[in-house]
Amino acid sequence: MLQPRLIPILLLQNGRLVKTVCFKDHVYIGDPANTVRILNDKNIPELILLDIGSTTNKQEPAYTLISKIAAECSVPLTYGGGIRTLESARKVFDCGIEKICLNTAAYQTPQLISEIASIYGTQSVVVCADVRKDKKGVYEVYISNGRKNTRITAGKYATKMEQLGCGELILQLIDHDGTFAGYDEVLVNQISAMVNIPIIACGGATNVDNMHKILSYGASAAAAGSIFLFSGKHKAVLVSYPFQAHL
Amino acid sequence: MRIGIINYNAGNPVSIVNALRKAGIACFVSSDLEELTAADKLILPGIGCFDAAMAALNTNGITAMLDEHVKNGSKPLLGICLGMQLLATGSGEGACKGLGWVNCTAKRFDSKPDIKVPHVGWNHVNSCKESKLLDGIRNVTFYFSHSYYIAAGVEADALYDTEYGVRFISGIEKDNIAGVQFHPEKSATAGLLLLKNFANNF
Repeated sequence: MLQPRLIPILLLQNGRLVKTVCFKDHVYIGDPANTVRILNDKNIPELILLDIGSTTNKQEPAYTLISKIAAECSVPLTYGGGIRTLESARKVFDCGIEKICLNTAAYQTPQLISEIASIYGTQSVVVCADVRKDKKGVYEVYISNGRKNTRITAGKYATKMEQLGCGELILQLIDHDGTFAGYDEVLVNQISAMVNIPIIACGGATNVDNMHKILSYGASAAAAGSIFLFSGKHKAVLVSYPFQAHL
Repeated sequence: MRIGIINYNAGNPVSIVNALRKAGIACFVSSDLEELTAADKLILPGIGCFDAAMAALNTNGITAMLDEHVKNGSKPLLGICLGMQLLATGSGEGACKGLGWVNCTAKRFDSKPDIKVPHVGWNHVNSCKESKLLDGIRNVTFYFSHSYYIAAGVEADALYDTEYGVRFISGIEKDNIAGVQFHPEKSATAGLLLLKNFANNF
Protein backbone atom coordinates (compact mmCIF):
# COMPACT_ATOMS: atom_id res chain seq x y z
CA MET A 1 0.00 0.00 0.00
CA LEU A 2 1.18 3.48 -0.88
CA GLN A 3 2.26 5.33 2.26
CA PRO A 4 0.85 8.80 3.07
CA ARG A 5 3.10 11.41 1.50
CA LEU A 6 3.78 14.12 4.08
CA ILE A 7 6.50 16.30 2.63
CA PRO A 8 8.58 19.05 4.23
CA ILE A 9 9.01 22.05 1.98
CA LEU A 10 11.98 24.37 2.40
CA LEU A 11 12.47 27.85 0.97
CA LEU A 12 15.83 29.16 -0.16
CA GLN A 13 16.73 32.81 -0.58
CA ASN A 14 20.26 33.98 -1.38
CA GLY A 15 21.72 30.70 -0.12
CA ARG A 16 19.85 30.84 3.20
CA LEU A 17 16.76 28.99 4.32
CA VAL A 18 13.81 31.22 5.14
CA LYS A 19 10.13 30.79 5.95
CA THR A 20 7.39 33.17 4.92
CA VAL A 21 3.88 34.10 5.99
CA CYS A 22 1.59 34.73 3.00
CA PHE A 23 4.74 34.97 0.84
CA LYS A 24 6.06 37.87 2.99
CA ASP A 25 7.75 38.42 6.37
CA HIS A 26 10.76 36.21 5.71
CA VAL A 27 12.20 34.61 8.84
CA TYR A 28 15.69 33.11 8.78
CA ILE A 29 15.68 29.37 9.47
CA GLY A 30 19.25 28.23 9.03
CA ASP A 31 21.89 26.74 6.82
CA PRO A 32 20.31 24.73 3.98
CA ALA A 33 22.66 21.71 3.85
CA ASN A 34 22.64 21.40 7.63
CA THR A 35 18.83 21.58 7.83
CA VAL A 36 18.47 18.98 5.06
CA ARG A 37 20.88 16.71 6.94
CA ILE A 38 18.75 17.01 10.09
CA LEU A 39 15.53 16.25 8.21
CA ASN A 40 17.16 13.38 6.34
CA ASP A 41 18.26 11.84 9.66
CA LYS A 42 14.66 12.11 10.86
CA ASN A 43 13.53 9.78 8.06
CA ILE A 44 11.58 12.20 5.91
CA PRO A 45 10.03 10.43 2.88
CA GLU A 46 10.77 13.20 0.36
CA LEU A 47 11.72 16.85 0.30
CA ILE A 48 10.77 19.90 -1.75
CA LEU A 49 13.23 22.78 -2.02
CA LEU A 50 12.15 26.05 -3.64
CA ASP A 51 14.50 28.96 -4.26
CA ILE A 52 12.16 31.94 -3.98
CA GLY A 53 15.01 34.41 -4.50
CA SER A 54 16.00 33.26 -7.97
CA THR A 55 12.66 34.32 -9.48
CA THR A 56 12.80 37.81 -7.97
CA ASN A 57 16.46 38.32 -8.86
CA LYS A 58 16.19 36.58 -12.25
CA GLN A 59 19.11 34.35 -11.22
CA GLU A 60 20.13 30.94 -12.48
CA PRO A 61 19.73 28.10 -9.96
CA ALA A 62 22.60 27.93 -7.43
CA TYR A 63 24.00 24.68 -8.86
CA THR A 64 26.87 24.25 -6.40
CA LEU A 65 24.56 24.64 -3.42
CA ILE A 66 21.95 22.32 -4.98
CA SER A 67 24.60 19.61 -5.46
CA LYS A 68 25.70 20.00 -1.86
CA ILE A 69 22.11 19.71 -0.61
CA ALA A 70 21.35 16.74 -2.89
CA ALA A 71 24.34 14.88 -1.46
CA GLU A 72 22.82 15.23 2.03
CA CYS A 73 19.47 13.84 1.00
CA SER A 74 18.99 10.07 0.66
CA VAL A 75 15.33 10.48 -0.30
CA PRO A 76 13.78 12.09 -3.41
CA LEU A 77 14.33 15.79 -3.78
CA THR A 78 12.25 18.19 -5.86
CA TYR A 79 13.95 21.49 -6.71
CA GLY A 80 12.31 24.63 -8.05
CA GLY A 81 13.52 28.17 -8.68
CA GLY A 82 15.21 29.90 -11.61
CA ILE A 83 14.70 27.09 -14.13
CA ARG A 84 13.76 28.86 -17.35
CA THR A 85 15.43 26.73 -20.04
CA LEU A 86 15.99 23.07 -20.87
CA GLU A 87 19.68 23.68 -20.28
CA SER A 88 19.18 24.89 -16.71
CA ALA A 89 16.80 21.97 -16.07
CA ARG A 90 19.50 19.58 -17.32
CA LYS A 91 22.08 21.16 -15.00
CA VAL A 92 19.72 20.79 -12.04
CA PHE A 93 19.10 17.10 -12.82
CA ASP A 94 22.88 16.68 -13.05
CA CYS A 95 23.17 18.00 -9.49
CA GLY A 96 21.40 14.80 -8.34
CA ILE A 97 17.84 16.11 -8.31
CA GLU A 98 15.00 13.72 -9.29
CA LYS A 99 12.27 16.21 -9.99
CA ILE A 100 12.34 19.80 -11.10
CA CYS A 101 9.58 22.24 -10.26
CA LEU A 102 8.43 25.04 -12.55
CA ASN A 103 6.29 27.95 -11.42
CA THR A 104 6.54 31.25 -13.31
CA ALA A 105 8.27 29.48 -16.23
CA ALA A 106 5.34 27.04 -16.54
CA TYR A 107 3.13 30.03 -17.34
CA GLN A 108 5.61 32.03 -19.44
CA THR A 109 7.13 29.15 -21.45
CA PRO A 110 4.67 26.25 -21.19
CA GLN A 111 6.46 24.29 -23.95
CA LEU A 112 9.37 23.90 -21.51
CA ILE A 113 7.20 21.42 -19.56
CA SER A 114 6.78 19.24 -22.66
CA GLU A 115 10.45 19.53 -23.59
CA ILE A 116 11.64 18.39 -20.19
CA ALA A 117 8.99 15.64 -19.98
CA SER A 118 9.96 14.25 -23.39
CA ILE A 119 13.53 13.69 -22.18
CA TYR A 120 13.21 13.04 -18.45
CA GLY A 121 9.65 11.68 -18.32
CA THR A 122 6.52 13.30 -16.94
CA GLN A 123 7.28 11.96 -13.44
CA SER A 124 10.27 14.34 -13.34
CA VAL A 125 8.30 17.53 -13.98
CA VAL A 126 6.40 19.18 -11.15
CA VAL A 127 4.48 22.43 -11.55
CA CYS A 128 3.78 24.69 -8.59
CA ALA A 129 0.64 26.78 -8.96
CA ASP A 130 0.33 29.60 -6.43
CA VAL A 131 -3.36 30.24 -5.95
CA ARG A 132 -5.45 32.99 -4.42
CA LYS A 133 -9.21 33.00 -3.88
CA ASP A 134 -10.93 36.19 -5.10
CA LYS A 135 -13.96 37.84 -3.49
CA LYS A 136 -16.36 35.72 -5.55
CA GLY A 137 -14.67 32.53 -4.40
CA VAL A 138 -12.88 31.91 -7.72
CA TYR A 139 -9.38 30.43 -7.43
CA GLU A 140 -6.86 32.18 -9.69
CA VAL A 141 -3.22 31.34 -10.38
CA TYR A 142 -0.49 33.86 -9.57
CA ILE A 143 3.12 33.94 -10.77
CA SER A 144 6.31 35.84 -9.84
CA ASN A 145 6.19 34.89 -6.15
CA GLY A 146 2.49 35.63 -5.94
CA ARG A 147 2.77 39.20 -7.26
CA LYS A 148 1.15 38.82 -10.66
CA ASN A 149 -2.33 37.50 -11.33
CA THR A 150 -2.52 35.39 -14.51
CA ARG A 151 -6.36 35.63 -14.41
CA ILE A 152 -6.45 31.91 -15.20
CA THR A 153 -8.58 29.78 -12.93
CA ALA A 154 -6.83 27.02 -10.98
CA GLY A 155 -8.92 24.34 -12.72
CA LYS A 156 -8.13 25.52 -16.22
CA TYR A 157 -4.46 25.92 -15.32
CA ALA A 158 -4.21 22.44 -13.79
CA THR A 159 -5.81 20.81 -16.83
CA LYS A 160 -3.44 22.62 -19.17
CA MET A 161 -0.39 21.66 -17.12
CA GLU A 162 -1.43 18.01 -17.19
CA GLN A 163 -1.86 18.11 -20.97
CA LEU A 164 1.59 19.64 -21.38
CA GLY A 165 3.24 16.76 -19.53
CA CYS A 166 3.40 17.90 -15.92
CA GLY A 167 3.62 14.82 -13.64
CA GLU A 168 2.62 16.38 -10.32
CA LEU A 169 1.00 19.63 -9.34
CA ILE A 170 1.71 21.54 -6.15
CA LEU A 171 -1.35 23.63 -5.28
CA GLN A 172 -0.22 26.35 -2.95
CA LEU A 173 -2.73 28.69 -1.36
CA ILE A 174 -0.88 31.99 -0.97
CA ASP A 175 -3.10 33.45 1.75
CA HIS A 176 -2.70 30.39 3.99
CA ASP A 177 1.11 30.20 3.65
CA GLY A 178 2.68 30.05 7.12
CA THR A 179 -0.63 30.83 8.87
CA PHE A 180 -1.43 27.36 10.31
CA ALA A 181 -5.02 28.07 9.13
CA GLY A 182 -5.46 24.66 7.52
CA TYR A 183 -5.40 23.56 3.89
CA ASP A 184 -8.13 24.70 1.52
CA GLU A 185 -10.17 21.52 1.19
CA VAL A 186 -12.52 22.94 -1.44
CA LEU A 187 -9.65 23.89 -3.73
CA VAL A 188 -7.91 20.53 -3.39
CA ASN A 189 -11.12 18.57 -3.86
CA GLN A 190 -12.13 20.60 -6.89
CA ILE A 191 -8.80 20.37 -8.74
CA SER A 192 -8.12 16.75 -7.85
CA ALA A 193 -11.40 15.77 -9.53
CA MET A 194 -10.33 17.53 -12.73
CA VAL A 195 -6.91 15.95 -13.32
CA ASN A 196 -5.39 12.47 -13.22
CA ILE A 197 -1.97 13.53 -11.94
CA PRO A 198 -1.08 13.63 -8.22
CA ILE A 199 -1.92 16.86 -6.39
CA ILE A 200 0.39 18.05 -3.61
CA ALA A 201 -1.54 20.30 -1.23
CA CYS A 202 0.44 23.17 0.23
CA GLY A 203 -0.19 26.22 2.35
CA GLY A 204 -1.63 26.43 5.84
CA ALA A 205 -0.95 23.02 7.42
CA THR A 206 -2.07 23.21 11.05
CA ASN A 207 -0.57 19.98 12.32
CA VAL A 208 -0.04 16.31 11.50
CA ASP A 209 -3.76 15.48 11.59
CA ASN A 210 -4.50 18.30 9.19
CA MET A 211 -1.93 16.87 6.75
CA HIS A 212 -3.53 13.43 6.91
CA LYS A 213 -6.99 14.93 6.53
CA ILE A 214 -6.28 16.74 3.26
CA LEU A 215 -5.35 13.39 1.70
CA SER A 216 -9.00 12.35 2.09
CA TYR A 217 -10.00 15.35 -0.06
CA GLY A 218 -8.15 14.03 -3.08
CA ALA A 219 -4.60 15.26 -2.44
CA SER A 220 -1.96 12.61 -3.16
CA ALA A 221 0.49 14.38 -0.89
CA ALA A 222 0.53 17.10 1.74
CA ALA A 223 3.44 19.51 1.94
CA ALA A 224 4.22 21.84 4.82
CA GLY A 225 6.91 24.20 6.01
CA SER A 226 6.13 25.90 9.31
CA ILE A 227 5.00 22.85 11.27
CA PHE A 228 8.39 21.21 10.60
CA LEU A 229 10.37 24.35 11.30
CA PHE A 230 8.82 26.06 14.33
CA SER A 231 7.95 25.00 17.83
CA GLY A 232 5.82 26.51 20.58
CA LYS A 233 3.66 29.60 20.68
CA HIS A 234 6.61 31.92 20.15
CA LYS A 235 7.52 30.04 16.96
CA ALA A 236 11.10 29.23 17.93
CA VAL A 237 13.04 27.61 15.10
CA LEU A 238 13.20 23.85 15.71
CA VAL A 239 13.58 21.48 12.79
CA SER A 240 11.54 18.33 13.34
CA TYR A 241 9.71 15.56 11.52
CA PRO A 242 7.24 13.75 13.77
CA PHE A 243 6.48 10.76 11.52
CA GLN A 244 8.25 7.55 10.67
CA ALA A 245 6.89 7.53 7.16
CA HIS A 246 8.95 4.91 5.39
CA LEU A 247 9.81 2.51 8.16
CA MET B 1 35.06 -4.55 -6.80
CA ARG B 2 33.91 -1.54 -8.81
CA ILE B 3 30.44 -0.82 -10.12
CA GLY B 4 30.15 1.03 -13.41
CA ILE B 5 27.13 3.30 -13.72
CA ILE B 6 26.09 3.59 -17.35
CA ASN B 7 25.83 7.24 -18.35
CA TYR B 8 23.61 7.67 -21.40
CA ASN B 9 22.08 11.07 -20.68
CA ALA B 10 18.75 9.60 -19.69
CA GLY B 11 19.47 8.61 -16.15
CA ASN B 12 20.34 10.22 -12.89
CA PRO B 13 23.80 8.84 -12.13
CA VAL B 14 24.58 11.44 -9.47
CA SER B 15 21.99 10.12 -6.99
CA ILE B 16 23.32 6.60 -7.48
CA VAL B 17 26.90 7.74 -6.93
CA ASN B 18 25.85 9.55 -3.75
CA ALA B 19 24.09 6.40 -2.47
CA LEU B 20 26.89 3.97 -3.38
CA ARG B 21 29.37 6.29 -1.69
CA LYS B 22 27.27 6.21 1.49
CA ALA B 23 27.13 2.40 1.24
CA GLY B 24 30.93 2.29 0.91
CA ILE B 25 30.87 0.77 -2.58
CA ALA B 26 33.43 1.88 -5.18
CA CYS B 27 31.87 3.13 -8.40
CA PHE B 28 32.33 5.30 -11.46
CA VAL B 29 30.08 6.91 -14.06
CA SER B 30 30.95 6.41 -17.70
CA SER B 31 29.67 6.14 -21.23
CA ASP B 32 32.97 4.71 -22.46
CA LEU B 33 32.56 1.13 -23.68
CA GLU B 34 36.04 0.00 -22.59
CA GLU B 35 35.67 1.44 -19.11
CA LEU B 36 32.24 -0.09 -18.67
CA THR B 37 33.45 -3.47 -19.95
CA ALA B 38 36.18 -3.36 -17.30
CA ALA B 39 33.66 -2.82 -14.47
CA ASP B 40 32.87 -5.80 -12.23
CA LYS B 41 29.18 -4.96 -12.20
CA LEU B 42 26.94 -2.49 -13.98
CA ILE B 43 24.01 -0.31 -13.02
CA LEU B 44 21.61 0.88 -15.71
CA PRO B 45 19.89 3.94 -14.24
CA GLY B 46 16.79 5.52 -15.64
CA ILE B 47 14.67 8.51 -15.40
CA GLY B 48 13.18 9.42 -18.73
CA CYS B 49 11.33 8.08 -21.71
CA PHE B 50 11.64 4.57 -23.10
CA ASP B 51 12.39 5.49 -26.72
CA ALA B 52 14.87 8.27 -25.91
CA ALA B 53 16.71 5.90 -23.56
CA MET B 54 16.84 2.97 -26.01
CA ALA B 55 17.94 5.26 -28.84
CA ALA B 56 20.78 6.58 -26.67
CA LEU B 57 21.87 3.04 -25.72
CA ASN B 58 21.74 1.88 -29.34
CA THR B 59 23.62 4.79 -30.92
CA ASN B 60 26.42 4.69 -28.35
CA GLY B 61 27.05 0.97 -28.87
CA ILE B 62 26.04 0.27 -25.29
CA THR B 63 23.29 -2.18 -26.32
CA ALA B 64 25.80 -4.35 -28.21
CA MET B 65 28.26 -4.24 -25.29
CA LEU B 66 25.51 -5.19 -22.83
CA ASP B 67 24.33 -8.06 -25.03
CA GLU B 68 27.85 -9.43 -25.18
CA HIS B 69 28.90 -9.04 -21.56
CA VAL B 70 25.62 -9.21 -19.64
CA LYS B 71 23.10 -11.19 -21.66
CA ASN B 72 25.57 -13.62 -23.25
CA GLY B 73 28.20 -13.16 -20.54
CA SER B 74 28.13 -13.21 -16.78
CA LYS B 75 28.55 -9.57 -15.80
CA PRO B 76 25.89 -8.65 -13.23
CA LEU B 77 23.61 -5.75 -14.12
CA LEU B 78 21.02 -3.90 -12.04
CA GLY B 79 18.43 -1.85 -13.91
CA ILE B 80 16.72 0.87 -11.91
CA CYS B 81 13.22 2.25 -12.68
CA LEU B 82 13.24 2.86 -16.46
CA GLY B 83 16.44 0.80 -16.41
CA MET B 84 14.34 -2.20 -15.37
CA GLN B 85 11.71 -1.56 -18.05
CA LEU B 86 14.47 -1.47 -20.68
CA LEU B 87 15.12 -5.16 -19.90
CA ALA B 88 11.70 -5.89 -21.44
CA THR B 89 10.92 -6.51 -25.11
CA GLY B 90 9.14 -3.17 -25.45
CA SER B 91 6.88 -0.59 -23.83
CA GLY B 92 3.56 1.10 -24.42
CA GLU B 93 5.50 4.34 -23.91
CA GLY B 94 7.26 4.06 -27.25
CA ALA B 95 7.90 2.20 -30.48
CA CYS B 96 11.52 1.13 -29.83
CA LYS B 97 12.42 -2.44 -29.01
CA GLY B 98 13.79 -2.96 -25.52
CA LEU B 99 16.85 -5.01 -24.63
CA GLY B 100 14.52 -8.03 -24.68
CA TRP B 101 16.30 -9.99 -21.95
CA VAL B 102 13.09 -10.54 -20.00
CA ASN B 103 9.99 -11.64 -21.86
CA CYS B 104 7.51 -8.90 -20.93
CA THR B 105 6.42 -5.41 -21.94
CA ALA B 106 5.76 -2.25 -19.94
CA LYS B 107 2.34 -0.64 -19.98
CA ARG B 108 0.77 2.49 -18.56
CA PHE B 109 -1.28 2.56 -15.35
CA ASP B 110 -4.99 3.12 -15.98
CA SER B 111 -5.81 6.31 -14.11
CA LYS B 112 -8.92 6.26 -11.95
CA PRO B 113 -10.18 8.81 -9.43
CA ASP B 114 -8.15 7.24 -6.62
CA ILE B 115 -5.30 6.03 -8.84
CA LYS B 116 -3.36 9.06 -10.01
CA VAL B 117 -0.60 8.58 -12.58
CA PRO B 118 2.39 8.66 -12.11
CA HIS B 119 2.56 6.36 -9.09
CA VAL B 120 4.67 8.41 -6.70
CA GLY B 121 5.69 7.66 -3.15
CA TRP B 122 6.82 4.94 -0.77
CA ASN B 123 5.11 1.61 -1.34
CA HIS B 124 5.42 -1.93 -0.02
CA VAL B 125 7.45 -4.49 -1.91
CA ASN B 126 6.45 -8.12 -1.43
CA SER B 127 9.20 -10.54 -2.20
CA CYS B 128 9.73 -14.25 -2.39
CA LYS B 129 12.28 -15.95 -0.16
CA GLU B 130 14.81 -16.54 -2.94
CA SER B 131 15.54 -12.87 -3.55
CA LYS B 132 19.25 -12.05 -3.49
CA LEU B 133 18.68 -8.29 -3.56
CA LEU B 134 16.19 -8.24 -0.69
CA ASP B 135 18.30 -10.51 1.51
CA GLY B 136 17.79 -9.25 5.07
CA ILE B 137 15.30 -6.60 3.93
CA ARG B 138 11.72 -7.66 4.62
CA ASN B 139 8.41 -5.84 4.95
CA VAL B 140 9.79 -2.48 3.97
CA THR B 141 8.77 0.24 1.59
CA PHE B 142 10.76 1.75 -1.25
CA TYR B 143 10.31 4.98 -3.21
CA PHE B 144 8.54 4.73 -6.57
CA SER B 145 8.03 7.31 -9.31
CA HIS B 146 6.72 5.93 -12.61
CA SER B 147 3.78 5.86 -15.04
CA TYR B 148 4.55 2.52 -16.71
CA TYR B 149 4.81 -0.91 -15.13
CA ILE B 150 5.51 -4.53 -15.93
CA ALA B 151 2.54 -6.81 -15.31
CA ALA B 152 2.67 -10.26 -13.73
CA GLY B 153 3.44 -13.38 -15.76
CA VAL B 154 7.19 -12.96 -16.08
CA GLU B 155 9.58 -15.92 -15.86
CA ALA B 156 12.48 -15.25 -13.52
CA ASP B 157 14.41 -16.66 -10.55
CA ALA B 158 12.81 -14.19 -8.19
CA LEU B 159 10.08 -11.64 -8.58
CA TYR B 160 8.65 -9.04 -6.22
CA ASP B 161 5.39 -7.26 -6.58
CA THR B 162 3.66 -4.09 -5.42
CA GLU B 163 0.05 -2.94 -5.36
CA TYR B 164 -1.12 0.30 -6.97
CA GLY B 165 -4.59 -0.21 -8.41
CA VAL B 166 -3.11 -3.35 -9.95
CA ARG B 167 -0.50 -5.76 -8.69
CA PHE B 168 2.62 -5.16 -10.76
CA ILE B 169 6.17 -6.50 -10.89
CA SER B 170 8.41 -4.25 -8.80
CA GLY B 171 11.56 -6.37 -9.08
CA ILE B 172 13.06 -9.10 -11.24
CA GLU B 173 16.08 -11.32 -10.65
CA LYS B 174 17.15 -13.62 -13.45
CA ASP B 175 20.63 -15.19 -13.49
CA ASN B 176 23.11 -12.28 -13.47
CA ILE B 177 20.43 -9.71 -14.32
CA ALA B 178 18.28 -7.76 -11.89
CA GLY B 179 15.85 -4.90 -12.18
CA VAL B 180 13.89 -2.85 -9.68
CA GLN B 181 11.03 -0.50 -10.49
CA PHE B 182 11.61 1.61 -7.38
CA HIS B 183 14.62 3.81 -6.60
CA PRO B 184 16.99 2.16 -4.10
CA GLU B 185 19.32 5.15 -4.42
CA LYS B 186 16.55 7.34 -3.00
CA SER B 187 15.10 4.86 -0.51
CA ALA B 188 17.22 5.75 2.52
CA THR B 189 18.50 2.84 4.64
CA ALA B 190 16.57 0.06 2.89
CA GLY B 191 17.87 1.27 -0.46
CA LEU B 192 21.47 1.26 0.74
CA LEU B 193 21.02 -2.33 1.97
CA LEU B 194 19.70 -3.37 -1.43
CA LEU B 195 22.67 -1.78 -3.20
CA LYS B 196 25.03 -3.58 -0.81
CA ASN B 197 23.23 -6.84 -1.63
CA PHE B 198 23.77 -6.19 -5.32
CA ALA B 199 27.46 -5.62 -4.64
CA ASN B 200 27.78 -8.76 -2.48
CA ASN B 201 25.26 -11.31 -3.75
CA PHE B 202 25.45 -11.00 -7.53
